[in-house]
Amino acid sequence: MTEHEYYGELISALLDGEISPEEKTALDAHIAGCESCRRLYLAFSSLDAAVADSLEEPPESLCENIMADLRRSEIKKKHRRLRPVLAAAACLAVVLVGAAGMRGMGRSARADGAVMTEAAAAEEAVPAAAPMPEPAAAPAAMMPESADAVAADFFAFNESEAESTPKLSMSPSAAMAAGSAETEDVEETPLLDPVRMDELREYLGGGEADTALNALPIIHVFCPEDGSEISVFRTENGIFYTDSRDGGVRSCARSEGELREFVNILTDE
Amino acid sequence: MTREDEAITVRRVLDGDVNAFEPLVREYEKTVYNLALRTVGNAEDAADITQEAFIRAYNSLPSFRGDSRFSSWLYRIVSNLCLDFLRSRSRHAVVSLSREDGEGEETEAEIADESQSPELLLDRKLTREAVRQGLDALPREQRDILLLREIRGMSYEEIGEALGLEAGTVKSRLFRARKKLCEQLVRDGNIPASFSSEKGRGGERP
Repeated sequence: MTEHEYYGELISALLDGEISPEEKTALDAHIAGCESCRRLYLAFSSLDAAVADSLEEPPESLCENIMADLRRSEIKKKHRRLRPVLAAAACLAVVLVGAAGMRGMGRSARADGAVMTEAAAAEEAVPAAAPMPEPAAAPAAMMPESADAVAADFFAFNESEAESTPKLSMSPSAAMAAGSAETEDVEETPLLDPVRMDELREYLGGGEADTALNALPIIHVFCPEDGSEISVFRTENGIFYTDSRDGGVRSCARSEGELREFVNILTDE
Repeated sequence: MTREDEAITVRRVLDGDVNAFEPLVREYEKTVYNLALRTVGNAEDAADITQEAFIRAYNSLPSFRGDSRFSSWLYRIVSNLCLDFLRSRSRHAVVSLSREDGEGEETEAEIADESQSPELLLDRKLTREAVRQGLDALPREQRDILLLREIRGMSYEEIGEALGLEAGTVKSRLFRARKKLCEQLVRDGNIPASFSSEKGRGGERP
């Protein structure tokens, strides 16, 4: 290493605050009598400033996009963790009623023209299940007491999942109706608690909506802990959800594809 | 953000607070973005790589041991993503990546031509664009180390963690990187837009 390089490295290190007191003393002594090193110091200083100045700002939305992405995947992950609980839950009902329009997107095996109601779905899964409410009942009535929760045809959406329907329709109410030991184990398990309901609300997003909801809900989630309910509706005017906490009707910001994905996450094994 | 701040933040994220990750994104997005931008050369891909880097960092955070700085660890993720990107694009710039291990760099021939001495830089007016092009033309390991230096509070030791180098090597590489960038800017005060890293490494320009 030449003398020039040696002091050059020290100058570089000085600018980075990585120089020892001894080195600093030596450098000061050298620079006092070396015009070339003095200029090198000035050149490196202005270069550092120029490099700092040359940095470009990332797109303004970048951080926001990253965080939105992470929050979404976090919600999905939590619901994946929740899934076994969901599957065995005696007092949680996630009811998916394949409204005619939604069914059009899904399984043709169900294309019998009839609206798939929770009662019909439950009957198919558990013939001996408790009495079911009327198919065309209003949303509030569609959610019976949790103990009478019904099975769901979760996969009215998804043709590829058709064959797994019987097993899945066994999920909440079938296990309960059978009175299995498993059910007793999980009865104490906390279910879709208020925090998770909030996640669901966050997931759904929601904006202003001013619409009459005559459709049947495509998703219905009940929180036994605080008694709140969320129902998602698909109408000609888009996707909406109602929140029993404040009685609000909101327009869902999610696309249909995402909503379908979300339902799959909720219910998929 | 100090090492301690980082450790506390990482802990909160690992405890399940996804929003705690945001300060880390805010702190490092600019450096990550610029590392990617100078490597891949366009804003859109750089933004994609930045986003992917943070998402990967978040998802593999449980494997972050905390024995290095978060920024050092993050850099390795970014660096790998950039490499993957360049490989998949398989453009000629990959040439400069073959020296990735950094060993060759230390034996690089010194430029003896005094007419290109860094001190002459003082007489030039540096535009941002000229500096960016100068950075683009640097070998990747020299460019990255200059950009990592821009992260406040990164010590030579921590930069070394990121690059897999001893602190002493960081010191000499930073000197060489500064010198080379100066030389390039002096040599080419008015760098044409078509200036590529291939030509830049040749050093034959008048």
